Amino acid sequence: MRLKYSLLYILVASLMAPMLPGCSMLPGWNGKETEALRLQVQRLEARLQALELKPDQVSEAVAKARAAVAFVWGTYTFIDSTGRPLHHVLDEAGEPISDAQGVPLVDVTGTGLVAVTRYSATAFLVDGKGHLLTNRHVAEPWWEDESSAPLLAAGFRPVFIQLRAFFQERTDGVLIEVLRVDAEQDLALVRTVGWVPSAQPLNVPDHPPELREGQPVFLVGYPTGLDAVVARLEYKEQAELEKATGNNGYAKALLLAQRQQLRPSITGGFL
Amino acid sequence: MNAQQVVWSKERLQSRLRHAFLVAIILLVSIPGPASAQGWWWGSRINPGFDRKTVIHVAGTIAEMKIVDQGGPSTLRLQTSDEIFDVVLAPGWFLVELQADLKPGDKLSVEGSRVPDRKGNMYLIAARVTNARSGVTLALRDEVGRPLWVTRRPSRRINP
Repeated sequence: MRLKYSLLYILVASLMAPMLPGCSMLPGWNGKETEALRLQVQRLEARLQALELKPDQVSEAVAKARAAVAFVWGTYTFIDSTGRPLHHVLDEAGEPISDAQGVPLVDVTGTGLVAVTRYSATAFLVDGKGHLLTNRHVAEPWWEDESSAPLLAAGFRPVFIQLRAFFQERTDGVLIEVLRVDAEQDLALVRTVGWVPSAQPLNVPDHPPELREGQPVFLVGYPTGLDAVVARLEYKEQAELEKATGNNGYAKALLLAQRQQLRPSITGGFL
Repeated sequence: MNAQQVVWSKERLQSRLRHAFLVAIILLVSIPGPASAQGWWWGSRINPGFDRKTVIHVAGTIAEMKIVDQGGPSTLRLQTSDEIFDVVLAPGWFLVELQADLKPGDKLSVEGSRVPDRKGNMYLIAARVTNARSGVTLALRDEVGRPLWVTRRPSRRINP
């Protein structure tokens, strides 16, 4: 019986032998094949390491990233050379005029509310001083924006009405200011005003390590604005939120933050 | 400067005028200007416009439906005897609140305002929708076209 197992062991070992490092020593194997096999083993090892990541390590990494990722809420309007902002133009019934798609008619002589464009985005902490990295189209939403182009060409100037960031550690939005935008890349640096988050920043190395196949990655952010956040709620909660906040996106974000429901989407996988 | 330079021939004058006219047309077309004399089409979307002067009544069959909970109103495509209408209803959550029972193939009569978007596509912004199958009328907008889901008024589902 013992002999039978020994023979079986020798058979398995001889079959496994070509897969081991150093097999270039074996007859019939050339250097190229060995190198290819070595790379294959490396990739398998990387995948195995990724699969062996303990769940609590992943949870820790996700929690850290979530705390450093901010939901950005902004509104802006345009003013003319004398500083007059655009207002909604109203019809005889006092209702704002819009086309069939809801695009409003606005003018500096309008008698409705100030016309704004609302938007939301993602930014993430890069240091312990409240600096956040985001896109230029977040810091300057009129940049390369088709609908803003005619107004800019006519001499109107964009002005922010609101620019705030929501963090997991707060139940309200904190004011942020734009520090720098890249002239070529869609990148910008912003900073919190009057408050510094205590969340640990994400590490942005000057020379990022090379990405490897099989490396685990996860993406944290608000790519679809509040839609994905609201979609995670029960249908009844969604309707209540819509009724309570209507078209006011900031009020919606605020209410979600107060209820600890303003959480980023997290998706992950292996490279 | 002599008289020959100043006094242009009739042909030359006509040619210059033609050029000036062409330049003026090109400038008018190329320079971005207000969407109309009243202002600019710009800003975050609000509820679709409703023009009381263009209110019509149509009857037809639901060909398609698109129920949207957020980010825009739900819509349906209504096939009448001679035309297809893109009907703009209300947010999905409001339709749920009204217990709206609409299915493709249902025969509807719709009262609404016929309004174009900026590309010239025509839409019917529904104020009242009556389903012949159930006999229920959904009131979506008031008499001046204000959406009932934002006016904080009680929802209205009119049973037969």
